[in-house]
Amino acid sequence: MSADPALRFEHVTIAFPGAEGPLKVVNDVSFAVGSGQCLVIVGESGSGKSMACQALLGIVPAPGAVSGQGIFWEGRDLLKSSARDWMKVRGAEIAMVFQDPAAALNPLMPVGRQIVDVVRAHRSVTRAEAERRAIEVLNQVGFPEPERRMRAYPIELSGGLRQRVAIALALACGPKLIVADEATTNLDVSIQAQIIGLLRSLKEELGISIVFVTHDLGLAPEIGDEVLVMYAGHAVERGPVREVLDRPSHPYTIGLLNSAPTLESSRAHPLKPIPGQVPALDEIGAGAPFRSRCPVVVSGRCDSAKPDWTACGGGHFVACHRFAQDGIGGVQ
Amino acid sequence: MQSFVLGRVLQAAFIIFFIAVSVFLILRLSAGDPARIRAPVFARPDVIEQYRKDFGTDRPVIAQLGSFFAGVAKGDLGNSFRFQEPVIDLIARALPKTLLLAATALAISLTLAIVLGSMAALRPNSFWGWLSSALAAFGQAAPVFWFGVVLVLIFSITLKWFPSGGFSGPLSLVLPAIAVSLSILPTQLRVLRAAMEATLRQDFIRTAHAFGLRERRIVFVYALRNACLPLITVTGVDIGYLLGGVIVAEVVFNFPGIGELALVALNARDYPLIQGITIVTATTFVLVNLLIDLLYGWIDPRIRLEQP
Repeated sequence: MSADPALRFEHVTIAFPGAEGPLKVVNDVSFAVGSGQCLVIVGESGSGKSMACQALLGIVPAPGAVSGQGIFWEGRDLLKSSARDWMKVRGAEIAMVFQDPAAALNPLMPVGRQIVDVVRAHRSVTRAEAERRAIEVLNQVGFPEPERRMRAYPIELSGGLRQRVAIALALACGPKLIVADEATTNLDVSIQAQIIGLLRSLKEELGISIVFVTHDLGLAPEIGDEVLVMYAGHAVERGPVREVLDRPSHPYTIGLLNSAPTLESSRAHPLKPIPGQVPALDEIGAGAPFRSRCPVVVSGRCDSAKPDWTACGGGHFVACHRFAQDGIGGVQ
Repeated sequence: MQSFVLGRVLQAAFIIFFIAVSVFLILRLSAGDPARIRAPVFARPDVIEQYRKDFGTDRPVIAQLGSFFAGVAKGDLGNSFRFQEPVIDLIARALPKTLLLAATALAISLTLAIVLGSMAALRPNSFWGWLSSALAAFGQAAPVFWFGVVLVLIFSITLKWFPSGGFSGPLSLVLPAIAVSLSILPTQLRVLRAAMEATLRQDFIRTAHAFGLRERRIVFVYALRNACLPLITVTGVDIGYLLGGVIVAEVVFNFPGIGELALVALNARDYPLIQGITIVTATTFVLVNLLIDLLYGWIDPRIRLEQP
């Protein structure tokens, strides 16, 4: 990671009011993304990864409340900026690609016009100039015949093309950071590979930083430099992609890897799903978030205190009492 | 698309034909003899019989029906019993005023529904949310004839801002149009507000926010277009209520349109005039709904592209 990360997300908590006090969907989570780097955030549904992305853009839906030390973007604390300043950042400097391109695009507007609209929201250009920019970014994402097909409505395009439009929309104002929230989840595997290749080329050729959110840890090495594993609103493990994949040190990360199908998995080596369910947010309390499903609980510790980060070497950290006590042998 | 339009036009023609026949038969089955009503009181039977001959109501109903449709085919709706004038001319004088009144009322109602409904959806707990709920409830509770009289009392008798009746220029439209608009506003307002609330929760609205578009543009361009689809549907249904409301308002405001003409025609059992008015009104209703179907396809590519 570069010395001066472009984005620092510091001890951010996102809480929604619940029947018995606030529910923390994101609980004291920190991460950083260096410029031209890609951070992969991995977690299952309800881990808070999408909510963290929405906090980055200041679009956490009401009545959610974002608090913490700050969301620093190129030195400015976005949490403290005015609504107007934040509006200038989102879409222009930080842009988002959403999970479901069929729902994320306006169904009643030609796709080209949606790009034109975003360009004109951030730059004082004529309609013709904005249209030229739209054609340019559509070309960049490999959208065929943009001059003609930009007049198409979302319904007239395939899922892969819609996602290319969504990425073109994100590129329209020349962003420095793209947040891709499950951007490949709804796509066929072959299209998924194309979209990941496209994002990687944006990172390598344009130097755009990427936050890539997925529930599929297997995608991390395809695009990521760093990985952050989230569970039930908590960050549980982070580090360089290779380090984390080669030496997973949190029982949850290990469980995720064991439950992913590989070429070797067969009847002889069956998949090992993680037993149980993600706990309700109000059941976690003061202890380690994964304790209800963890095979290596440290009794007396995991149900009373949140684990601190422990260094595993090579910039790799894990938040686990068992690891802190017994090292890598204890969790495996 | 062409076969779609052709199909709808044929359907419309059938509906209008069916309505014309029904009205024709119902009139002749119902009580009241136009000849007796037209003839002087205590007229001798042979005088009344002479009126029946003049009106053609002495002939068998089937024969009357045949000559009526023969006339309609040539664009002739017959002569009015009451006014002794071609029905076409009477309608041609009254219809433009009625359409103007209905269009004004519709414009007032749609504008209020869109502006208030959007504001209420956006800020449900604000003054706008309260105002739109109150207006919807009031519109549903207050009948047109009562509200019309109240408007006359306040704005023409007390304040003397607008004429209380008749037709003497654009100012004469204001009070009746407001009275009529209140009859269709409640559904439109509620439907638009609910549709807008649902649309504002959709993903593409979140996308628009995430790309830094201004709220005004998001609400009145991105969301409104989507929220208008159900509004257009209820407007098609409302055209019926609108025409009904217009008739009441024309009577209350002594407004020289189709509604007032219809009332006179009904009292005189003026068969040709009633038939003519019904056919013209039904045609208007069917045409407007046809237009609305086409409008749908124009606004929503998902509907347009489904048509083979």
